[in-house]
Amino acid sequence: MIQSKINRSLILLASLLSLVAALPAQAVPSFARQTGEDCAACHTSFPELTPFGRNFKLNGYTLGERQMLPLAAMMQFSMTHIDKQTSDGNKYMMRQNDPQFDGASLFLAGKISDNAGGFIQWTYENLDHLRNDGTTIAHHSHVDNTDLRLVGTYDLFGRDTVVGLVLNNNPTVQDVWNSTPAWGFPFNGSKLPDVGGPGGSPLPSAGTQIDGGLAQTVEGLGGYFWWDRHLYGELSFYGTADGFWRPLSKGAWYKSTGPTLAGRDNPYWRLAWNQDWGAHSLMVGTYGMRVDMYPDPTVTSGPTNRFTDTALDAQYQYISDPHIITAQATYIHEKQEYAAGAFDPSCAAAGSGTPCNSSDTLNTFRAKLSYLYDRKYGATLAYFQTLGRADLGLYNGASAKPDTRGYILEADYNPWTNVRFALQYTGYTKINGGNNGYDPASPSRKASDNNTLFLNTWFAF
Amino acid sequence: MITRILFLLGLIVAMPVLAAEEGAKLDRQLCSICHGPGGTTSSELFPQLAGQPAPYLINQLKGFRDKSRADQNAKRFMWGVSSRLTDEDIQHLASFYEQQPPLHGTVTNTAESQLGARIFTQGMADKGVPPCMSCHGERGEGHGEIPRLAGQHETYLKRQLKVFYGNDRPAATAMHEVVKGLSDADIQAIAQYLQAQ
Repeated sequence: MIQSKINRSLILLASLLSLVAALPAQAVPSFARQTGEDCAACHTSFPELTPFGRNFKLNGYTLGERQMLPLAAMMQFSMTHIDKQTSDGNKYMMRQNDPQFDGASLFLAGKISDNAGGFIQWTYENLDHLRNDGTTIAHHSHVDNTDLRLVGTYDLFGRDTVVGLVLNNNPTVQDVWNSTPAWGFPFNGSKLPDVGGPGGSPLPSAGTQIDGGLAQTVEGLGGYFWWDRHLYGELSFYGTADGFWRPLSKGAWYKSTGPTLAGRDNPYWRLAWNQDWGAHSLMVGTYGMRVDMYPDPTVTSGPTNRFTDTALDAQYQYISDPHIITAQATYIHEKQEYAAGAFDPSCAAAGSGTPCNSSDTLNTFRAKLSYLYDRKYGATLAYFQTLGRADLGLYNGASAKPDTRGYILEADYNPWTNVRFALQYTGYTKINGGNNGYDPASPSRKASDNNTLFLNTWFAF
Repeated sequence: MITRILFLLGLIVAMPVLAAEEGAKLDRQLCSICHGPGGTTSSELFPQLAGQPAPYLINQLKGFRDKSRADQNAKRFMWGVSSRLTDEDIQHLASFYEQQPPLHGTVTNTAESQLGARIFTQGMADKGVPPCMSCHGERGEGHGEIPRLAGQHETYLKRQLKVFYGNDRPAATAMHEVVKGLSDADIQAIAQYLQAQ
């Protein structure tokens, strides 16, 4: 049965591959068409940026000729296998081993003028969320990452300095190093509902706000400078993407309304030092944000919860021919301060979602090392963990802690620069504060039972 | 909200003050991202440009622009960048890089370097390989439309010599004949010698 499904999926993939391969050599996303460059000029391996790619983005995507119709697209297919199915089947794994159409994106991406450019992504999610019936999966199409820029280049202290204004809807989507959350590893993960794994997971549920918690629900407007290709600084301010900013919001499905920020001056900051020498490139930096959020997203008045995220990150790249090595790491500390009435010191309802403590913390650390040969064959080893203060109101595991820890092994094959086949294995050593019996509802279940094998194909054209 | 408006207004007001110089140099803003400041880089993926004769650079940039030079990395990195260069830009860049002081590597394999020096200065008559110096200059410094080889990256030199086995650099007609007599070991030796000159 599984074999026949695999055969069918292989036939499907082969058909799609031949379709993409039949496209002319220029059939790569619109930035490549605009600049005339190969994808390899800006990416080591999509979406990781080279020094050239970082400069292209920070200069507002303005290099090259403006296209009449700057459109690009991508689509993804996958198969997921989880280590152990539970007795109630649907809880942890739906459509196990079935080939899936994950979704597709359309990009409006390119130069607007010599001083302006950007991209708007529209995505159809074929596996968006589990319906109330608990057995069927709903679809959703929505605006995805958006990044619009207005830039100028000036002389500051005798050095070229790019100064820009940036509008986006996901904190860190504007960043050019792949150590920050929006463009950090893993670039992909299983989208199947109730399958563990960062990138598409309900299972390890705790995450910091800056780590995807606000993605496509906020609008952010700010300014940055890029001095002498060494020093990057940015200050932006975020608010909920509602009212005039509604087009930047992906919306919410019926079970959730998403976070609601108080005001439009929730600050985001970024400072990074970059050094390129020969085939090497190194960056060390810090970033963070502070958001004030209404405890009930539907009631936009009264006291607010405050989340303060402070992060350190670093990236190293060795880009040569045929060898490419890249490494990224980030550490995010989040302080969560709850408004009076937004937490319950009596801890009357464990696992209710209402915190027992007046303040909590989360600490996320991620690191990965990748090797790419001839820009075709890649291997990545990654480590991730999120640890935090015990809070019985938020985390209903035995330890009442959010702690999740694991690793990812990934092998990639890129037959062309715009096509990728990835085999990804995610292993867990701890989920929601424990290993054996981490889930009170399934005492015999171990964290490693959620280990996931994920086969993914990714086409961009 | 007021904080945000004040911040953005301040930024917009500051922009013209920062605009001390109109149109920064193309080489600083674009080429040096890959080729290094002043056309010198330790990356073997991209060639040294410092000290290259201007006529050679002009020919190559025009070759990228009209896509007649079509080796893999030319397509990847240079076709797009060169497509927007005017003849005036090309002239400016070529003059700039010609005037930059070139770098020199160091010998890492003496035996190879000695063999490379012999081929470079004497050629291999039995294999129909002329002395490289007869065109590229006594010290590999190049002149006119003949490129400078001295101080170029070893890996880059090897890669380009192998490109001449095919027809991705059709303008280099002489080199297509020369490489026919070179073995992999000869190419390694020549590259080892030249990178240290």
